[in-house]
Amino acid sequence: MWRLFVALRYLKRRLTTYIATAGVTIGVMVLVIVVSVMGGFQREFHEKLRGINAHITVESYDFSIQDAETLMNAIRRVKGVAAVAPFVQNIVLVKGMYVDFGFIKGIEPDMEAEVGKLRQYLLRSEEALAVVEYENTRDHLKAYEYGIAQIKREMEAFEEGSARRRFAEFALIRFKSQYEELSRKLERLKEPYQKALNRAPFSDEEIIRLFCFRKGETPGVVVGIELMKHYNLRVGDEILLMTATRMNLEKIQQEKFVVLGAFKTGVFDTDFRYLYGLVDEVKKFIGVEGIGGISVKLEDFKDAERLKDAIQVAIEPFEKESSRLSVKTWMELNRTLLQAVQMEKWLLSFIIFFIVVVAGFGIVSILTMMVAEKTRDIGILKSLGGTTKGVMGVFLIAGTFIAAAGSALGLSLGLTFVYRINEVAAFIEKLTGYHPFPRDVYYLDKIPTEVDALELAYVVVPTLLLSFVFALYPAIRASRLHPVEALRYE
Amino acid sequence: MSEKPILRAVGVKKSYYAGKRELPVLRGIDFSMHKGECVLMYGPSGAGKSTLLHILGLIDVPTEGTLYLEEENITAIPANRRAQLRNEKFGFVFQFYHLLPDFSALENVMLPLLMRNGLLGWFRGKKKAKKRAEELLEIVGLKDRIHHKPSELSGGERQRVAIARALITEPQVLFLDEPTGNLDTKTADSILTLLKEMKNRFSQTFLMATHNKALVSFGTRVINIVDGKIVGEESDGAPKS
Ligand SMILES: Nc1ncnc2c1ncn2[C@@H]1O[C@H](COP(=O)(O)OP(=O)(O)O)[C@@H](O)[C@H]1O
Ligand SMILES: [Mg+2]
Repeated sequence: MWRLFVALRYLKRRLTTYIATAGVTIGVMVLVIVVSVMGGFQREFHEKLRGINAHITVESYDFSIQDAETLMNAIRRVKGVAAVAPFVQNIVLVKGMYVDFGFIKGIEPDMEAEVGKLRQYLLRSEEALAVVEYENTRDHLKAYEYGIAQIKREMEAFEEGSARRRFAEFALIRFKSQYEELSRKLERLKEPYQKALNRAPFSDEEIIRLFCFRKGETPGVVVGIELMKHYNLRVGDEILLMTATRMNLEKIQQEKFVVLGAFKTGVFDTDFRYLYGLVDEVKKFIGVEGIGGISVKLEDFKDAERLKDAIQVAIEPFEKESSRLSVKTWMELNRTLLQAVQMEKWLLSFIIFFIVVVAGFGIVSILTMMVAEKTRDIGILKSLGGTTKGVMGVFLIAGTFIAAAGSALGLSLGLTFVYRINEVAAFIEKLTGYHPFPRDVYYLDKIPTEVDALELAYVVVPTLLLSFVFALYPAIRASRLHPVEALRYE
Repeated sequence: MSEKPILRAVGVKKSYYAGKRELPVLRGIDFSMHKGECVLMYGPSGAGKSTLLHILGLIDVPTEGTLYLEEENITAIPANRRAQLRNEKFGFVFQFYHLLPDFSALENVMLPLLMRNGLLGWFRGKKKAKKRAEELLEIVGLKDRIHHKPSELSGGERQRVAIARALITEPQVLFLDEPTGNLDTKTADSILTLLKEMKNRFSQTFLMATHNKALVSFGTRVINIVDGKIVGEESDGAPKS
């Protein structure tokens, strides 16, 4: 206890103490912020993935599920399953202005709405229009911005008064006026766009009407907003889809589909490559009799791993009549993606941890200074009965105290920042006119954060351990000082 | 003096080494002292007085020889036991005061007692230590200086604090190494008066080293050290060979 008494006195009112503490504080604070924000993005990202993929997917690769109803009932009976929906999915070529590959997914709209987030993702036709117009204008504006910068750069090379220079100046004026016009247009389109992004989810009736009510016999699809933009599609336009199944690759099917509507999930790939249709129409299109699979929604997605096995058992009887069914969780379906994100997070945290390491060196240097300065004190403490361990304790406590105070401060500052991060972002926007996390880039209203006690422990515990290790060297050196040597000089 | 000696040294030698060359500082010291004695170690500068004092006070170790504390051999006891004995049995007063500059006079005096307390009973122990330290500081005449840092005290005042610190543990032996060596004559006299008072009040056992002839009268026994050896000893003025 006297060690703490002495150590605290040594730390008190020394500038170096505060500098070293500030170092640890900054390191811990930045780590807390990064871990929390990355965690928030990760959570949003997972949520998006779950929005598109069912929690668990039971799939037959040869579309051989004949009695979907019985199979679905068997799955429904598994405790923890909230809803199921049948689907049939296959690869397609989309032919319009361009050719791209995509996936067509035949669904029962009302059932699918219970399993996934279709309700939130679907756009009403005026909403789809607002999104397309705004985003196209925005991209256009960016292109002009780039063009203006390019012209400005190249103009420098042309001689003043030369024909090329005059042409460039003329082009610049044109570009600028176009740019301004587009800016004004973007401003006008902003409000309907915001409205579309904050749209109300589709009701059951709206979903049914979207998928089922149409003029004529042509089958319909709901396309992603990115495909709509790229192919310049409108509701009511027709596109040509081509497909072939694994079982019969030579037989290429081709059919015209009418665009019924659009959806926007916020994940580019999904918004470009997925097309939704009705199960029956899609079955007919790809030329199969059975269903391709069952989407399963769980009461709690965290049970996916566990319930996967239960579902596997429940569907075993069906595997005899149809071929093998594969059961996969949403995480398995996106394994590489999830691992990449996780990796990114840890890598960044690891790099930032070096701030803490540097702060640790700060602790070493101030303790080394302290030991040098307190040589005589060490001799005195020993002559008064201080043991080797006791003297070591004084300096270890001093080092650990700096780390603990820095960690506590960094933790509270970091958490305060995290909880107020959106206010901070708004403030930055007000100050600079530029939002650090533009919402149309990240498709998020707010900067997401996720404060996880375990991850905070991963920040603080290594910091404390590291500081302890760093403090060890000067502390041991102090304790080894011979009291006679230490006492010799005035 | 039939009683057993409190401190006894037999054949104590101490050498430093400069490369292979041996530099003997103590060349075989036989010495003992009893409870209540006030021994004065007199000798020229560099004779080895401080070295002997440090060895007897368990701050330093001899190269050769045996030490007894109340006839128990303490030559080779482990380091933390030595530290414990320093704290419980001995007190030290040095020429250069050796107070801790970051602590007030009061805290400096309290420290030896605080070092005995663990986490449990810290506050109770601290309270007791404070009370005792205040009493002692009053005895040494620093009642109104207790919250001053050493840097705010004069040399004489600092030495009084050091004396109070040495006495707070009620040591069996108080070691003093040139306690007035750094003070002017007048202040030195007042410190000596204080020490005499302490001697009477606590019947304190002293071992004091000095090169100052004028202090010889302070001891009840004087041993003469020259060049690492005891060359003469007298008790109460009577030469003892
Ligand atoms: N670490 C050391 N290395 C070499 N010689 C030393 C060392 N410490 C002390 N001495 C020598 O030991 C001798 C005795 O010193 P000391 O005990 O301080 O004498 P005193 O206190 O009687 O003046 C001196 O000559 C001194 O130079
Ligand atoms: Mg000396």
